[in-house]
This record gives sequence, C-alpha cells and structure tokens, in this order.
Amino acid sequence: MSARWPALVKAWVWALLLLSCGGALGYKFSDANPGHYFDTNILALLPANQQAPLADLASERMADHFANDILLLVGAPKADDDELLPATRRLMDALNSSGDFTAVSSGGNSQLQQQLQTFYHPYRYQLLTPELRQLLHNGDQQALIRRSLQQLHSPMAPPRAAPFSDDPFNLLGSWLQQLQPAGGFRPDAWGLVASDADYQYRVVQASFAGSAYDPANQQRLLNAIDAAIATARLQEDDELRLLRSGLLFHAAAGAEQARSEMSTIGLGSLAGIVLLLFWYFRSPRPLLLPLLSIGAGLLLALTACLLLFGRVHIITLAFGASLVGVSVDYALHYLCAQRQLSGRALHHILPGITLGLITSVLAYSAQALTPFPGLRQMAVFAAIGLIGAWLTVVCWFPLLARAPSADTTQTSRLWPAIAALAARRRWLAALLLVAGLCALWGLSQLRFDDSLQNLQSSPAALLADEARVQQLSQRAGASRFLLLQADDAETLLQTEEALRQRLDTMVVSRQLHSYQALSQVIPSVARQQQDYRLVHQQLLQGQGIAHLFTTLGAGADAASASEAHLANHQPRWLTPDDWADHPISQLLPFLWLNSEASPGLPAAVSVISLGPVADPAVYSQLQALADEYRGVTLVNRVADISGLLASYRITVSEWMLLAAVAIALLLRLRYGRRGWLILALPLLSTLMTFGLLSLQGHPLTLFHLLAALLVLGIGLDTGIFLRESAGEPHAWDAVSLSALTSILAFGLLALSQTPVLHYFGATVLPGILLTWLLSLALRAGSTQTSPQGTTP
Amino acid sequence: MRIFAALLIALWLLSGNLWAEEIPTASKTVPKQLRHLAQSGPVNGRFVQNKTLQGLDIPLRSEGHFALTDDTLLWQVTSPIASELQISRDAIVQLEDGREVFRLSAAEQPLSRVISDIFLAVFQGDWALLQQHFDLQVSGSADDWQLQLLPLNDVIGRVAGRIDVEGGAQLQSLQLAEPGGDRTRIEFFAPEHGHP
Repeated sequence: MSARWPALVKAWVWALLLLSCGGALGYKFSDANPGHYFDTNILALLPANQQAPLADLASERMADHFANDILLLVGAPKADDDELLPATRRLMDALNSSGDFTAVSSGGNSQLQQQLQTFYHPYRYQLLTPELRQLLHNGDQQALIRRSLQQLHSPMAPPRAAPFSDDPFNLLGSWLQQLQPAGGFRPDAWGLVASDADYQYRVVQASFAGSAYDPANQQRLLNAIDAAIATARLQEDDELRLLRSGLLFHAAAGAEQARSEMSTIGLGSLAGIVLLLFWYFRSPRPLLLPLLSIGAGLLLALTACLLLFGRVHIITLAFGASLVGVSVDYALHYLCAQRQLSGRALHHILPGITLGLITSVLAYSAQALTPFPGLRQMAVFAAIGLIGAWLTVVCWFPLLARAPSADTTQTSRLWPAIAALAARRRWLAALLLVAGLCALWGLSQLRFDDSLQNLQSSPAALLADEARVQQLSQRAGASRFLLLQADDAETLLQTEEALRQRLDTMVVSRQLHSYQALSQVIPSVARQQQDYRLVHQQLLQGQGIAHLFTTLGAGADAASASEAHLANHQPRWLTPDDWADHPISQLLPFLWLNSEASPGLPAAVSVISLGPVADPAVYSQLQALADEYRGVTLVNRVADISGLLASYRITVSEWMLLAAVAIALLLRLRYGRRGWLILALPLLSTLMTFGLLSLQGHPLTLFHLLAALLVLGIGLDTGIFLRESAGEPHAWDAVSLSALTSILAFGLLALSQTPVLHYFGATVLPGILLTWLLSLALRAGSTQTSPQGTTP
Repeated sequence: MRIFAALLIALWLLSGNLWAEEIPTASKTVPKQLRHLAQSGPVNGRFVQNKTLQGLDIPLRSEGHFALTDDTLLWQVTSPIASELQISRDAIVQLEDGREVFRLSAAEQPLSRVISDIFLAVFQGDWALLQQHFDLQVSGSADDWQLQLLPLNDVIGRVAGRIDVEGGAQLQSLQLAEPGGDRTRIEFFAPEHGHP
C-alpha cells in the first residue's frame, strides 16, 4: 500500500493542475469576442522586423489606410455596357441600406475638392506648379500674359479657384489641378471607372468599422456583401462580372480555411485513431485512455500558449490538432506493453518514453528559438502538449489501466503483418535502396524557395481578382516605398524635393508609373519662400498684374485692387503639421509619420509611395538613388520577408544540426557506441524525403525543415522504443500504431490548401513512413525470434 | 464654351472623388420644339463669347468659328488670341498654330467622353444624352425656344449652377452661371460669307 501513496499524490497533483488549466481557459473563453484569444492574421506568423521598426510602422500605416475598405468592381463588356451603371447603382444602394458599412461611394470623398480649395486658399501666392515657376523665373511677361489669355478664353484651362481679382493668374487653380493623384481609376460623371481590353468597370468602395480580422465582423460584412450582390441581381446578368479586392476578403478566406481545415484535419485524425485503436484493442478503455492523454496534452498546451502569448494563432491550433499523432505515442506504448507484459508496464517503458520526450522537446526547441512568433507558438504548443501527454501516462495510467483483465488476448494483432513484411525485408531493402538512389538524384537538384508566396493562402480566384484590380487601379503598394528620415521637417522636405527631380525623370521615361510624396502637397518652406518672392517680383514689381489688366482692357482701379490683394498679403508658411491636422490628410495619411511620433523615432519621417514599375530592375535603380541621399532608404518588404525566410531557413538548419549533436550525445550516454543509429534512421528518412520532394520538382522551404523536426521527434520515439524493448512485439505494435496514427493525421495535413500546413504534411507523411520502413528493414532481423517467445 | 471648360476641368480635377447623384431613367421623348435640331445636319458658324468675372469690371470678349461635322466639333478662337479645339467622342484635342498641344482621349480620361457627349448633345439637340446629366425645362415654340439645364450631378452643379440655351431653327445662345458669380454668354451666328 505504501508504494501506492506517491502514485495517488502524483495523480491528484496532475488532476488539480489540469483542473486549474480548465478553469483558466473557461475564464478566458468567457470573453465573448474570439478575436481576443484567437489570431487569424497570417502576418502574425512573421517576425517583427527588428532592424527596421520604422519601415514596419510606415508599412503598417500604408496597409491600415486600405485595411477598412473593400473595392468591388462591376464590369461589363465594352460593346454592351448599358446595364453597367444601373447595376452599379443597385449594388451601392443595397450596400448602403444594409447598414453594415460606414460609407459607400463610387470612388472617394465628395467634399474633398471644396476642402482642398479652402485649405490652400491662404497660401495661394506661395505655391507654384513647376510650369508656372519656370515661366515666372524666366521673367517673360509676354509668355505669362499669353498663357493667361489662352486660359481665359479656352475651355482647357484649370477652373478658377479664387475670385479673379484675388488671383488673376489663377495660381491656386493650377496648383489644385496638379494635385490630382495618378492612377488607373479615372472619373466620369458618375464615379470612377477603369477599363481593360474588353471590359469596362465601375468602382464601388465601401468602408467599415472594426477590424478586418475580427471573425464576427467578417461574417457580418461578407453576408451583407453577398446579400447586396443578390439584391443588385448582378449574377442574373451573364454579361456582368464582379471583382473583389480588400483585406477583408483575404482575412476572412484565411480564417475560414484555417477553421475548416482545423476541424477536418483534427476530426479526421481523431476518427482515424479511434477506429484504429478500437480495431486493435477491441475494448473501450484503451480507446479512452489515449484520448485522455491527448486531451490533457492539448488542454495544457492551449493554456500555456494563452498565458505566454496572450492570443493563440489559428494556424497554431491547426498544427496543434495534428499533434495528437505524436502525443498518442506514449499512451500506445504503455497500452501495448501492458497487453503483452501485464503489470509494471510503466516501469518497463518509462525510460523509453522519457527519452522519447526529451529528444522530441530538444527537436522542438530548435523551432522555438526561431524569431517567428507563430512558429515559436507552434513549438511551445507541441512541446508542452507532449509533456502533458507524458505526464498523463506517468501519473494516471498506472491507476486507470491497472491490471489487464483476464480475457485480454496477449497476442499482437499487428505483429503478424509486421513479421510477414520483415520476412521480405530483402525486397523491402531493395525497394528502399531504389528510393534512396532516386532521392540521391533528387538531392543533387535541390532548390530552395524563400518567396513570400509560401505564406499566401488565399483562394486562387480571390488572388486573381486582387491582381486584376491592382492592375486596373495601378495603386501604390504598401510593400515597396522610399522611407525618409531627418532631424527636422524642413530638411526632410528639401531632400524629397531633390529626390523627386530624379523620380520625375523615371516617370517621364516610363520606368516608374507614378509616386506620391509629402512635398507634392506641402513644399519645403524654402521653396514656398522662393516661390512667394518670385510671385512678388514678377506680378507686383514686374507689373505682371498691371499688364494683364491692361491687355484685357480693364481699368486701372481694378488692377490696383488686384495688386493690393497681393501686396497686403501676410504670408504664413505651410508645414506638414498643418496638413496632418486637416481632414484632407486622410487622403494620404501615410505620407507623414510624425503625428504618432513615439520616443526613439527620428524627428521627421516621411514616405514616398511608389506605383508599379516597368520591370524589377527599376528597384535596383531606386536603391542606388536612395543610397545617394542621407536618411533615405528603399523599403522592399517583399524582399525583406524573403530574406528573413532565407535567413531563418539557415538558422533552423544550424539549430537542427546542434540539436542532432545533443541528441547523439544523449543517445551515446544511454546506448553506447551504436546509439547514433537511432538518430541516423530519422535523419536518413528526412534526407530521402527531401530528395523525393525535390525529384518531383518541389523546392524546399523553411517549413519543410520545420516539418523535419517532427519527423525527427517521431522517428526518435520509434528508435528509442524499439531499442528499449529490444524489439519486442509490443514495441513494434506501439511504434506501428503510432506511425499509422501520425500518417493519418499528417496525411490529411498534406491535403491542406494552406501552403505552410501542406508543406508540413508533405514532409512528415513520407518521413514517418520511411522511418518505419527503414527500422523494419534494418532491425527486424535481430528480433525475429521474439514473437515466438511471447506467443502462447 | 466656358461651361465645358469648367465642367471638364472640374470633373477632371475631382479624380477619385466623384459619386453618382442620379441615374437617368427612362428618357422622355424629345420636345417638339427641339425635334428639328437633331435633323439639322452639319452646323457651322461664328460665335461671340462674353465672360463676366467677379472682380473684373469689364466683360471679356472673344470670338471665333465653330463647325460640327459628323461627330466632331471644331472650336476655333480667333480673337483676341488664337486657339483651336477638336471635340469628338473619342478625344478632346487642343491645337496651337496647327500643332497638337494637348489631348484627352476618352480611353485615358472617361470624363472627356462625358464632356464631348454634352457638347455634341447641345449642338445636335440630343435630348436623351442631355437628360443623363441635367434636369431639362423647355418653353416657347419651335421658332423661339428656351431650354434650361439644371445639373443633376453635384459635381457638375458646383461648376455650372445653371445653363440657359436659346434658339429657333438653330442654336442662338448659351449662358452659363457659375455658383461663384462668374457668367459666360456665347452667341452663335450664321456663317459669314467665305467660311465653311
């Protein structure tokens, strides 16, 4: 009896710990908003850019600008676009009346023109377009007057933005006209339109409140959009097409995919295991015990992740669901040992499962050390889940599965099949050799792919829509831009002005489609003063106004009145802060970063956003250009992230090697010289897997390497269990059951549409199969006598 | 003329900031007073434009020729400064001394299509087209009619508060009142001898 006391204490302590986990989870989930504990943003998987927090901030601001908008483009064939306008209007009305959107428009802010005019009016004598500046600078009064006359009589002139007397040369009108942003969307009388070779499109823009990543929001908005499309009867007309663009669609698709895959993969994996175990044990108890250990592991892992990270990424959960394939190892090993050895099963297998746990946790520690928050989460989830499963087996199983009942058959169900396969191990070895040679050929052509596309999981149709809209809108992307920083705003703007001359050249030569810069809307004070002086010199001292009035045949009084406007004007210089404080800055809020200046940021930071480029080589040119100016950097988030993926791929490889060395030392301590063989099998099967994948033309990614950690963990379990039990049938049964359950779980992962999960599945599935086959081919011979020993 | 200038540029300036006010529904039949305009064939003649600007004590007078053939309107200012404009459904082109200095193609700038549509509609009496953009009021007889255009669209309305057109067998005059107080009046005359 005394020996049972520690066992009871252990069991109760573990039960209490799990209870408190359950309590903590219950408390956390009582929060009605799942957004507070589940993360669905794929970018959360990416590391924070330690080197360039400023670039991150700028990129975030640009992305935020579009984050709460969706664009719907209604298209009709150019030859038959009668229905286009009415259909677009119906869609807008339906979206409006849904009440789910804060604003619905056919392209922007209708108040803007008036707001711009009011904002710039006090500064009308100090803001010159390049053309006017040149004209005034040349001092050619005749040309100036001629231009004015032409504008007064021609329909092609900019509209007059101030009364004639106030601004006879229409400086303000010219300034406002050049503010027009470049882009592929063009206005007509009813809104923005775009066209390609065959189709004409109308733009509908809708804004919403709340986060695009909030699942409740996603559901509500998507339903509203679908309902509006139905109400507008867009689908009834075969001629009409609809393009969708916006973060909301991608976020919702990603969340939906992760949700459905989590349930299919998790459920599929569970169902497979339940069926397999029921077939094997023919008894409900051995069926429930592995589930208990899996459940306890998941509970502990989820609680730990929420405590450590605050929120759990939905992909972590999907990955975690596959963890059942690994954590079931310990329970299976215990049950198989108990069936065939009866009592003291734990004592018998404890060294094996403990070593299995340590090596798996070691393997995961490599993943936990990467700077990817999502991957770190997965590693912590996996390691803690395994510890939870191990603790359940150690603390509860001896009590719950004490004695094998009398009618339990002691024979192994799997061993006959395994033994039959082992008897043909020459063939097996030959087959593996052929596979190995193929893999070797594949390894010689190994390629790596670190592109961002690896993280892109949106459905192809949505991506095609998005690409089409991008092409039509020519909108500046949030992933590539010039970032400028300086000690003060004036220096910053002067740098921008110098830089823009070079950018203008690139725009003229059509290398760069367009750009947007702060100094286009707020020139440097130096330039404003220079322009103001020029206006005074030419229009007042140089008598430009007087000449114009004379030419028009107006009286001297009118000319004097107009001159007085300019002469009595007290200039105030525009600064970026004036812009930031005004509602019009909402047009391009990401150009000036200082309104949310936080400690540690340089005094003045701005962004020059870049439109599409003619070819990627232009980015090298822009890089060279940025290098010429102090405080200017070309931010290329796409390249940055690819670079990060590449460097983490290398880091993970190095950590894997280090983990392998540590594991090899550990194995040598326990098993002596030949201990390394246990490690060699999963390593060999991993290499073969990589070779075979490469043979099929798949480049390897960071995620294949991370999946190899899983193969390593499960493969080590296999090797250690077999070694600890000297290849007894119960051990073979356990590792085979484990391999089968893992293959079930990860086989389903390989079907995932989410690239990251697919890579895991495609690596782990063949990896485990090969490890098992290799173990059989290399070891089965030494244990051939064992089955007879235990068969009655 | 200023109407279209103002319209064109103002609408154009609003790039990205337009919205629909009203959609034309079933077009009513063309009032009898205007029916003959659509069939009147090629139109050409002389125009005199008087513009009154706020803060300028005298009207600005300019004159020139216009010619409508098929779907292209040629607008030539001859005095006090020469400039030439070709307006068609596909493009608006500005010429100086016979040289093209500016082109707005309908493909690049859909708004120019709207402008040229309105422009051509006024000259051709295309009732349905005008109805897309304006609330139309007609009074008088076929020999002496008055047409009042009130913009349906806020964007157009901000530039052209109201347009009044008068005519008989032919278009006689057009007056634009801008909300800011500037006024433009264009009078049309039969071609002088020697002009096309």
